[in-house]
Amino acid sequence: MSFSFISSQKISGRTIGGAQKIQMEGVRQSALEKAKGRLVLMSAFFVIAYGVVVARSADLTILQGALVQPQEENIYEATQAVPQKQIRGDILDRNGVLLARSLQTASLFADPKLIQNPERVAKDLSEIFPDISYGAMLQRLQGNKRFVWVKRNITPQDQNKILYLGHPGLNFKKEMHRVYPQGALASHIVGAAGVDGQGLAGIEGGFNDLLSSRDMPLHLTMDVRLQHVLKREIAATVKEFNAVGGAGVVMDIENGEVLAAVSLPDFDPHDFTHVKDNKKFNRFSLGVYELGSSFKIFSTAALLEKNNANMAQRFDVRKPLEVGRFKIRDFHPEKRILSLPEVFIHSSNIGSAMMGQEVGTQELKNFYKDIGLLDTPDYELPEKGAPIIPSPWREVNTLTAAYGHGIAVSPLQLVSAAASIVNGGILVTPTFVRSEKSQKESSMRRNVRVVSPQTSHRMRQLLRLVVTEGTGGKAEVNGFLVGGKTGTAEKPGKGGYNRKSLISSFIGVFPMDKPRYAVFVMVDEPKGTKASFGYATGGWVGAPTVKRVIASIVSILGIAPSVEVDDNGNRFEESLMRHVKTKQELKQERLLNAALKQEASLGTQ
Amino acid sequence: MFRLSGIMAVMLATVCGALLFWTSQSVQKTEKKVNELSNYAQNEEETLRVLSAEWDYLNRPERLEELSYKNLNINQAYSEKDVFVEAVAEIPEPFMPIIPAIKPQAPAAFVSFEETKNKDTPSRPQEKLSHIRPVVMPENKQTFEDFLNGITTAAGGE
Repeated sequence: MSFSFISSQKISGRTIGGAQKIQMEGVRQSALEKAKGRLVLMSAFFVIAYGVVVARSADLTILQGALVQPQEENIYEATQAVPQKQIRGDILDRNGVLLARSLQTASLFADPKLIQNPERVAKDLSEIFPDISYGAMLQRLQGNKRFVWVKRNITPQDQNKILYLGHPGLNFKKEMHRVYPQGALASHIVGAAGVDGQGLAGIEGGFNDLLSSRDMPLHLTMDVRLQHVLKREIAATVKEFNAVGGAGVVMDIENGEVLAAVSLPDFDPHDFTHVKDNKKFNRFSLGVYELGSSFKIFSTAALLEKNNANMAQRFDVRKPLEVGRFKIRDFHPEKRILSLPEVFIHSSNIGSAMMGQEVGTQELKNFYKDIGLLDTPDYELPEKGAPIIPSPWREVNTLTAAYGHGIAVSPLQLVSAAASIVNGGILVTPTFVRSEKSQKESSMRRNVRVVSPQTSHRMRQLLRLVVTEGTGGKAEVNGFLVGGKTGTAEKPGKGGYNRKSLISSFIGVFPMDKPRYAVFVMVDEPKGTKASFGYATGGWVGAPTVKRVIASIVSILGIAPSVEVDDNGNRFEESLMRHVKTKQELKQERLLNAALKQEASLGTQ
Repeated sequence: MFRLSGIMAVMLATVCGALLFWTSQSVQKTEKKVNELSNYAQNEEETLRVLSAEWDYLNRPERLEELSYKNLNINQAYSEKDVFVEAVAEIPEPFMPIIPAIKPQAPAAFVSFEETKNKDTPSRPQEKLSHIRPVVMPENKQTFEDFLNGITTAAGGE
């Protein structure tokens, strides 16, 4: 402001208390007053603003604080939502029954630096957890670390006991723990997960990535009810015959869905890391065995399919079949000429070897490959046993492979191959998981035909004959047209086969006029009993077990009993009966021969 | 001294400030409520998961089999005597439902005058439901159990 500007203004002054107060007039006065007003306004604004803040603080702390009652305090009060962790997916059976689920548990950890009396704390904890010794506990609590695990996945009751103790330095961490409500029932199918939730075996291992990445449930084809029945009966048989173990499969032969699969001994999936290896071993999918006469299903089907064989074809099984230095004998020699159905129902090794010889090595190998017996199978479990096939495959191997020796496959492979033959001739592969993808793949495979419908029908009749007239009589369930094939094989040992170590099995299919389900039971090293007259073959061990399984599961599966004869009074296998001498006819024949012999001897005298 | 526009501007600024403050506080309050509900829902979901797992644990087939044998004397579902075919004939006829398949017609006394007058209204088919007796509401005050027993008897059951 220049002095000249000031001098142009009218400046008046007056004296107040000896000092001269200068009053401004005109433009200067209005400017000052304006500034003064603005300052007042700004001050008022800030005063109001601070007043609002004070009022709100008083409201939050005094007014609302006084109104909130202790019992109304929300225990879920949080400024932030607890982020939901990715939970491992559930595993369910085909009906939605829970097989595996991850649940939240508390894991106890300690901060040794905060524990003032480690001896007292160790004593209290070892009383709550008797499996951890006082010394081991004390050692952990006296360490220099700031974090030591005391026990993981404890029960709520134990958690309450620890909270009641009130020791500082002990705290809990929430973890997810895998729980198996069905226990050991389906342990070899479901498998187990480790402490950190990683799958270690079975479906848990095979689908580890899928289960970890999504919380949608995984539906299996298994039915816990059928699984329980199968396990119960196999366990009873293993106990009755004092066997080493057993295995069994129930399969839907139309689509290969595995409804039940058991391997004994089994394990508790909650304690997988401490289980012995023999219990973890999966006998129905990983173990491969020479299953013996069950293979005659495939050699007979190969003869019917490849060579268009006639049921009237005869096989002379009166003498052992010699091939080089090998002699092939029958377990129960019939010592007569047998028809094709009789070779099958009496389980003649000689007759089956002749069938294999007639089919030829390459054709038999091709047939076995077509039905999936020579390749490692493809299904959802990581436990897959590769078949043991003769290498090199010589002519003698063709003969032995025709009656199930010298070639080892898993029970699951055998069942799916048999299913492919009796279901009308369409290839099926086993599946444990119900999903759109597996159903699509299954429908694609339905287009692969392995045998003609006529061969399939003949095989159904032959299997039915085994039960009505042959070695599988103990598998018959009245009203359900059970068909099947027994299998008894010696286990290979040092220097050859061990005659006292058997693999006894039976594969049953029902109802034979419209087959839908296959039941396979295998028992490892059964010992004959008094009730079985010392026998431990497939007919004495496997067949009765399959009978009990079928009799129990028909009501679960909703299969009604049916009459065994059609409207004309004919049995299902009637057309083959003219090629088969029944037990009665054989008995009469033997009596007649004995009478003729006696007459002849009397005549010579 | 103070222009009207200035005063208005200050008032507007104050109101906007207050509104902003109130909105911010409301949002924070709502967020807190949402977090509380979210945590509550998570805990309830976990409880449901535990309960459903416990339900399936209690319904294990081996446990049910044991309980049914112990308490109901129900044994395994097969017999050495193979009585299946004979047992088929003993399966009883299915129980007839007490709820009729079609909606029962109202008695004539309850049909409105307009319905009887309207000739365009098609007459309802008079179907005879001889095998199903109509449900009769009790006139007197009866217990619910007596009522159930009554209608069960009327439907032909035991």
